[in-house]
Amino acid sequence: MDLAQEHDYIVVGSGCTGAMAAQTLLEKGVKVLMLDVGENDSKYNNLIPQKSFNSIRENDTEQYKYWLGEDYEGISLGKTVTGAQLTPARKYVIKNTEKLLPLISETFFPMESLSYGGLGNAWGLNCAVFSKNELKAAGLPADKMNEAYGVICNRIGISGEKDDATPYTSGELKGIQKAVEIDSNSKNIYEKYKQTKSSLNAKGFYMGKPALALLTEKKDGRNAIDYNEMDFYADNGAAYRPSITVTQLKKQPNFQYLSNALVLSYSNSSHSVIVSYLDTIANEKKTIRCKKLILCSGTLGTARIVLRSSTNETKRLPLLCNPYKYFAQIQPSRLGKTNNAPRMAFAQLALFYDAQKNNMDVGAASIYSYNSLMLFRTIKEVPLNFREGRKIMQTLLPAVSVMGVHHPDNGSGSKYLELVKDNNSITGDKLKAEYALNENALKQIYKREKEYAATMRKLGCYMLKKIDPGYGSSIHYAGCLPFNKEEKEHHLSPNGRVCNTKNVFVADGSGFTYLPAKGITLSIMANAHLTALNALNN
Amino acid sequence: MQTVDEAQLTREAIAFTRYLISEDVDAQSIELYSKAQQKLNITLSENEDQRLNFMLNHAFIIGMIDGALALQSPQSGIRKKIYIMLAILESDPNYAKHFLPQEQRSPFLQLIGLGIKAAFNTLTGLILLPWI
Ligand SMILES: Cc1cc2nc3c(=O)[nH]c(=O)nc-3n(C[C@H](O)[C@H](O)[C@H](O)COP(=O)(O)OP(=O)(O)OC[C@H]3O[C@@H](n4cnc5c(N)ncnc54)[C@H](O)[C@@H]3O)c2cc1C
Repeated sequence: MDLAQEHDYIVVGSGCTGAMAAQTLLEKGVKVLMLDVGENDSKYNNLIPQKSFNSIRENDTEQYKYWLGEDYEGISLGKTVTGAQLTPARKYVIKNTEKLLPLISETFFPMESLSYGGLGNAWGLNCAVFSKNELKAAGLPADKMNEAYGVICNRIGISGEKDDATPYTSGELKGIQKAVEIDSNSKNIYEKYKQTKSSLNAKGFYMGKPALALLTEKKDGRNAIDYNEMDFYADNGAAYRPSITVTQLKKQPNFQYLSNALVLSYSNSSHSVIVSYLDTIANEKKTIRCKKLILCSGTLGTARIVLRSSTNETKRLPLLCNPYKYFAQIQPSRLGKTNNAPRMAFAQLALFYDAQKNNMDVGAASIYSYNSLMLFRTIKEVPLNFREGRKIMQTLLPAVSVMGVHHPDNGSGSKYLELVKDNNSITGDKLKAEYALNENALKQIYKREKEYAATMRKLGCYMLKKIDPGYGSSIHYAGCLPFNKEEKEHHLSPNGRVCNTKNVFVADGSGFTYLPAKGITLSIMANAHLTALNALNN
Repeated sequence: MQTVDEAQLTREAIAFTRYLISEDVDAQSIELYSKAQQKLNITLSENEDQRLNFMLNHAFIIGMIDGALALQSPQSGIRKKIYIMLAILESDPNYAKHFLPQEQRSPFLQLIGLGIKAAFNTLTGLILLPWI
């Protein structure tokens, strides 16, 4: 690759947004260079057999290799924190982040990725279109976003169902595949919902099948879901991962991919952008030129790059992140019965709490059946000796579900990012994060969670334990460079351009001015598509 | 560098497996247990070390001390050691039946029985803990 030449478009990052922005640019016929760190799984991919979880458990004598990991990284000895669901086979997603993306915080514990495909290698596939109210609050153009959602749906493949949850999941999306089958545990909950739905709907609760970026029918050479329940460990092509797109793009002559390139900053010259990056193999700083730069490095990653590139003294950026809790719950009527096939590890049901009935400030919960993350992880949470703890959890397991509850987030002065100097860090700095909620926000969260627990009791599920993995654990980050119609430092213009630059764009969630609880990824992919179009037209 | 006392680790693996699933441990699990202790760098204080040895010499007491530690000091080195053994046993097909869900006729009775046993173990452990 000739680094001295000027490139047309540089996209930074191969995650969900980078993949979508690059695809849009290529479809319009321009040349794209993708810069990425691009960590990969070199250990586990080939070890995992394409068999069902239960058959592996009973037969494979080598299973310890991928359940526990070569360095026993599958055994977490501390308390449950962000990323507790990352199995050894998925740990590459966070490889080298401590070293290359150093972060300090007492209050905020995010997960970032430098992998080929980014956080999308581990995402839970829950898709949601934002309502008109939410799009407006997030600073996104409603008419264009609805079209963009369609484009992304067509690219990644989404399955779902028309049911009570549809206004909060797939909305008006066309071309979605039939929903995944759910197991007997979840069917039981869903049947109870159908029987009691009038009173629940009156309170603002709506349940249905989630919209998932998961194929139930073959598409573009990808397989349909195999119900092997190995989703925390391996992929068969049914789950959408951004690496699928980037690997396809690599076959196109107009696309180049450069890995081991950690972008540090950019500067503007009259007609081009000079990008400075660290070659992580040679440990050498290099520069490269392009006409237009599109940052898709994840909200926190983008914050670092923009702050380093800015001459402004104010180095504090706002931050949005959905507060998140897990509810471990038991359905006593399922005790003693086994949870029958079909089995999968992704969300089985979605439950939304729209208290104001205007599809705004909605609470979003996903319900999972717990099995393939193994019993030992749950036993640790039980304050009993391990022998009885094991027997109790083994008895409870077929009736246990885990509900992840997300809350919406608004900006406030007590949530922010700062870049501070650190001579020990490879980049000479580290990101400092602060996340605190005011009393009012905490009260709303408490109230919403109480309502969720009461609703689940009506559906025959009783809470065993509420687990708080801390702020940052939702892994939905946004809002560090809010959209603004005025040309203001550390903001994005509505078309995604970084204010006070001509040709630098941000296509991840950095511009969002409000963060709905529903799951951001479909929306950031749609926004990435629009930003790429804006960059072309700028 | 700290030397690894393989005999001691084997003793621990045997005792913990009997305690956790009432079975004899296989060679693979002993080896994995030994490696895990080194990789995860589990170290015990002198006090904990004495307590562990007492538990290994009086195996009937393991459940009681484990129960008391679960309440009083869930992050203790002894709990970590037993937890590691548990994870290793769950990853061995020979012991899968102790972890995979099973159909049960009277799960409520089973749970009540287990709850009483666990409570008894914890209480006894709490009484014994200061002496061990
Ligand atoms: C376990 C888990 C479950 C999740 N479940 C859901 C869900 O169900 N629904 C949902 O909506 N969302 C979910 N998410 C969140 C979702 O994964 C993210 O919102 C999404 O992947 C973010 O995409 P991104 O492109 O903005 O950034 P990232 O995925 O963070 O990608 C960033 C990319 O940029 C590269 N990069 C970063 N910094 C640099 C740099 N300086 N130089 C060069 N390259 C760089 C990285 O290598 C990476 O390729 C989940 C996430 C996780 C981890």
